[in-house]
Formats: sequence, structure tokens, C-alpha cells
Amino acid sequence: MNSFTPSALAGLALLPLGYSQVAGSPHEGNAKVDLLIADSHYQAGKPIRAAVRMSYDPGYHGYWINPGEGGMKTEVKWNLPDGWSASELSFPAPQREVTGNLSSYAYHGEVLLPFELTASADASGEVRIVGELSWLACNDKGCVPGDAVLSVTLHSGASSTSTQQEHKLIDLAWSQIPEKDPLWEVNIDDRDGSLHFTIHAKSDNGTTLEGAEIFPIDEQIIDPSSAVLIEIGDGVGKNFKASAKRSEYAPKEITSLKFIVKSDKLKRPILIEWKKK
Amino acid sequence: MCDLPTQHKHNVIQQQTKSTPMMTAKNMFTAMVSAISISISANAAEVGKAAPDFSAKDAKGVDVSLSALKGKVVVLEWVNHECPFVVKHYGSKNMQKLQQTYTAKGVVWITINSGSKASGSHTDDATFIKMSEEKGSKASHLIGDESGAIGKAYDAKVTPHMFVIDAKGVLAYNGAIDSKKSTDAADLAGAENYIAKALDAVLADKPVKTAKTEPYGCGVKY
Repeated sequence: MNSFTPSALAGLALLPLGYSQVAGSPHEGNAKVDLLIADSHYQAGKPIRAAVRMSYDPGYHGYWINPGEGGMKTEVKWNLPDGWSASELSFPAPQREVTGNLSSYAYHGEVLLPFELTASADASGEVRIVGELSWLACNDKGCVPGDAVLSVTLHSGASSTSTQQEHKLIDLAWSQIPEKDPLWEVNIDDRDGSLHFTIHAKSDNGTTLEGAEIFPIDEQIIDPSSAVLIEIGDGVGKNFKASAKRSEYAPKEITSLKFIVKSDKLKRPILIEWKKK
Repeated sequence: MCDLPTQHKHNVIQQQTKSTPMMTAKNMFTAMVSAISISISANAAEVGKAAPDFSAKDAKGVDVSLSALKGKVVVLEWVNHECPFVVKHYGSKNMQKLQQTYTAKGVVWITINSGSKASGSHTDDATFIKMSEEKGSKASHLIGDESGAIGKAYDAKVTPHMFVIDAKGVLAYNGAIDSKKSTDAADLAGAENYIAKALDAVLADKPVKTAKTEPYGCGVKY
């Protein structure tokens, strides 16, 4: 099972790190952060898999791509050699967190934020990859901002390494990232101050969304103060439904919504990009 | 250290229900409750409607009453100087510049701490004054709202959460200080300053274009 479990991460985190790169490891802002690189070598024009690993101190939480009320998304600003690029950090499914009067989407413990580095087409020699990571860690008493410079040196040429534990960590990181699934059709009816979701499986492969939870990636559309839980829907076939209170900051007309569906019964979270027809 | 008395203050919130044309069942309940105690309503502070009235002693012992400030534009700023979002705006002097610019134009700027003693976020009056003076605050009044009555009447969610009330006592803006949800002062440069725009509009007797935004910051520790 590939879905996120703290115990699975904890087990892998204890494994030796082999030949590949772990850079950084500063501890401030109530979190420990590492930059994981799958390979210490690169080939010109080719991507390299990587991840930022964050370990929040006990009692503290960090934030999802949509932080909800309060909070702040974790971000990185790269300083890369000419022609190199880095994808945005990808975020696994969060959990709802209620602190005082604020509801947010957050992580506890260890979380992996995978991304891809791509070498320039004419890259050669030794290169230095530097990223400035910023995040916010909060508990019920307050929030602490964190900043860290993560860096790693990469060498040109084919990798000579074999069984690397970073590969497993980075594989695990990507396996937790929500992914589109053509099985599902979604409609959202915006009425009476709520968004009414109907989710239909195009074929019956036994997958159920009953009990799954919806998390909005787009901010200020859904009020985060209540969980959006999916239940069995009406009609023939595999239909599911859910209702979510509109955010008080939502626009008059909602024409699109990007969201994820998270459930222990799913192999991985589902990414859905709904557009009004 | 200022040797001001740290007396217990009774902040009084007065629901201006007469000026609310559409009274919902919830508001009616709130109004009934307000007759016997402090009123608290999630919908009390609505842009375009009368701002909830309140009266309180400020940290220097001066009586402050919103209704007595009619004729003046008022800013309410919720603060917690330990919050990194507040640190961003005070550390960069952004907040103090706003305070200075607009109090010079006659705006009454009220900085409120609604942190409770139980949460550890409450500061006594002397400490509140000292912290504000050290930061160069140009606020007109500091109010320690330890019961949270004013904060809850306005549904102040975070620090900094900002409100602008026009000279007629109508809430003209409710939301974030600016458009960049971050703790990094470097983000001030590219941010849209909602408060400055709202105040400029209100002072020019023009409608506020962006009158409601989602506030960002640390939760108010009621």
C-alpha cells in the first residue's frame, strides 16, 4: 500500500543513505529539513528525482499547498546553474487541523515534498544546487517561521550507485502525490451556500469513495472549518456525493475547482480538476 | 516601564441592530443576548453595515468608544507581537508607516490584543505600551481585550486582522493587511496594500474596491 503512513516514512527514514545525496539538515523553525537527491550524478538535459524532507517537532504542524485559515505553504526559491530548472514542490494529502478558532490543512511529523531537477542541455562538470526553503510551523501556542539554505553538489556522468535508499524514499514521496484518475466524473452544483459534489465512476472496478475526504487545492472556495466527507450517492451505478460549505471569500460564481480525494481505501489520493460546463 | 494601573477593563459591545435591515433569526438571538451581556455574533461585522459598537478603556486609561468617534475614519488592527506575520509588518516598519501616514490624515488607529490570559498571549497594559513604544507604534489607542469581547464581535481571526470603519460608522473593509500571505518582509514590495487602498478610498469618500479579503496571520488566542 502506497498511501501515506507516518510509520512507513519513519521506517525508511532510519535506513542508511547509501551513495546518494542528503544535503542540508538544519534544524530551526521547529522542523528539521533535508534535501534528498536520487543520484549524485547527472546527465545533460535529463531530469533528476529529488525531494525535500521535513520533520516537524512533536506538537508542531506545517502546511499544505492550500494552508487553509492562517498558516503558510512551504516554498523554495532555487538558485540554479544557467539552463537548469526545478519543478514546483509536490504535496501529499494533508489532514485537517483545528488550532484555536482556525482550521487549516496541515502535516505532522515527517513529510516528503518531491520535485524534479532538470540539467541544462549543455551541462558539464561539477554543479552546485542551492535552494532557500521557507516554512511555518505552528502549535496551539504560536507559530515559528523557518528558513534554511539547502545545497548539494552534483557531478556529470552516469551514476555508479546501485541500491540507494533515497530511491525508496523518493519513490515513496511520489507515490503519495495525488494523481488524476480517468475513472471518475465529477459535477459540482453551487447552491444554497454550499458546493454539492456528485462523483460518478465510469466503470465499476470495486473502488469506493465512501468515507473519503475532499481537500480543496484552490484557496478561498471551500470553508475549511468542516471536513468534506464523501458518502454513497443516489441513482444507479457507482455514485458518490459530498457537500461543502462555501468559503465566505469565494467569488460569486465558482467556475472551476482543483481538489483531491483522500482515503485509506485508495492506492493514492485522486487529483480532480473540475471546470463548469 | 510605565507605571500605569493594570485594572480589569469592562469592554462593552453594543450591537447596532437598528441599522440592520435584514434581521436573521441568528442576529435576533444575538441581539437578545446582548441585552444581558456582551454580544458575540459571527456575522456582527459585515462590510457595508454598521460596525459593532464598543467602549473600553485603552492601555493608558483613556475611554474609547466607537460611537463617540463618528465623524472620523477608524482602523482596528489586531496584534500579537510574538506572531511572525506581525513581526513582518512591524520589523519592516510597514505597520508603523501606515499608522503614521493615516493618523496624520485624521484617522483614529486602534490596535487591539484579544489574547486571553489562559492562552499566554495577553499582555498587561504596561507591557502592551512598552512593546508598542519599542516598536515605534503610531497607533492612537492600544486596547487589551483580554475577554475577547471586541475580537469576537468583529470575528477577528488572526494577527494582523484589519478593519476600516468610515466616518459614518459603517464597516468599509474587513481582511488582510495586504495580498501576500507570508512572513517574509521582502514580499511587501510586490504586495497589494489593501489597507492603504481602503483608507485612501474612504478618505476620498469613494467606495472601497476590495472591501473583503481573507486575513492571514496567526490565530487570535482567545
